[in-house]
Amino acid sequence: MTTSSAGRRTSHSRSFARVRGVNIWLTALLVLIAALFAFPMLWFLLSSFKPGSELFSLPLTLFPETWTTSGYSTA
Amino acid sequence: MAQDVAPASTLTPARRSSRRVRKPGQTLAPLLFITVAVVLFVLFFLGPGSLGLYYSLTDYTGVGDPEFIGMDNYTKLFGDEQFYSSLSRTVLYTVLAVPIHYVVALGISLLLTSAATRFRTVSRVIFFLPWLISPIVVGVIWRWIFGENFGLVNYVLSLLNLPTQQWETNGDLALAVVIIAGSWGGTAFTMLLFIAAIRNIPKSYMEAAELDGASGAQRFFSIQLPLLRPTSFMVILLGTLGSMKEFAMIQSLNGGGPGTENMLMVQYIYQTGFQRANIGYASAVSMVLMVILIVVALIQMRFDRREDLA
Repeated sequence: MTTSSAGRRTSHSRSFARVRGVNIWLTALLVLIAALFAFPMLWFLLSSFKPGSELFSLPLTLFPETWTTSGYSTA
Repeated sequence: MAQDVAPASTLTPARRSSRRVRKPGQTLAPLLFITVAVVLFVLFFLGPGSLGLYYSLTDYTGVGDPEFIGMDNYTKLFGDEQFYSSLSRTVLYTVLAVPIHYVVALGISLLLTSAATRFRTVSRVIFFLPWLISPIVVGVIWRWIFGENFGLVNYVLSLLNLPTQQWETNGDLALAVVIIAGSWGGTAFTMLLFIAAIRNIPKSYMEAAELDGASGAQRFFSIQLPLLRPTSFMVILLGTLGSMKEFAMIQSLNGGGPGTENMLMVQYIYQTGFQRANIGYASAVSMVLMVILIVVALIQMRFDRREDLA
């Protein structure tokens, strides 16, 4: 009884594994979209710590070269 | 009692009416409860609405007394080129934004409800965050990212040796930015609707289809999508109405620019009403917009009903 059900499970195991297990491509897609969604907010958050001059100087950097909270103290 | 000898057919209505007479609180209390809603409705919806309708028939400028000028505003409106251009731009924006919005939100919801993905909880938090940001700030964020001189996107393009784009001075690109920003800001709510609806689909349907050997695409198109129809209908209706009334985000993103090229309906109303102080004319535009939205909603509802019968 147990062997027959186990055997039946292995015969289906490939399709079940694909559904029940983790699909790496779907996860990668989800992470990519989430990163795209998170990035504008992250960019804005990090820009808030940049001094004004750094906002308008090329090259643009993700992290501020000098961290300042002057924006927050003014606000 | 006389009612006791009445024939059975009239007995029930008689008894029902006698019960109503016996308990006067049952007519008084509902009236009392509904009064609150009626007063609020009249005060905050019917009142301003009819005031707007009245203003649309006058030359009111915000100061002084409005003078009744009949249908003049409307006749002027239908010969107004700026009105037609903002209307066609609004329609274009809606036609482009609603499907993109729908596909993005549905795709994300499917990924978030699929058992085959990881990081679903943290992703859902990330997707929801833009909904917490005010539309004005959404506009500012994207204006910053798509800035022409110090914007991030152009900077990345120049790093990749690609030509930088005129995100602010090219009308079509500016509209594309508006669509991106709108999808980013509005996906969260649609996603919540879709996730709730997908969760409500009985698991047994999907499992049965799976056992019958249906592929992922078959399961989606034959089970999930048809069962999501009421939600899809609501999402498309809300999305259409929302896109046609889009204002705050565009105002802070590019102000309908370049020039007035991407000025949508509500912005046109805002500009004529509050910047040119032409409130009568702006009210007329609002009334036309309302009629358009009502027609859109009615058409979509009829469409939904027909789909249900099919």
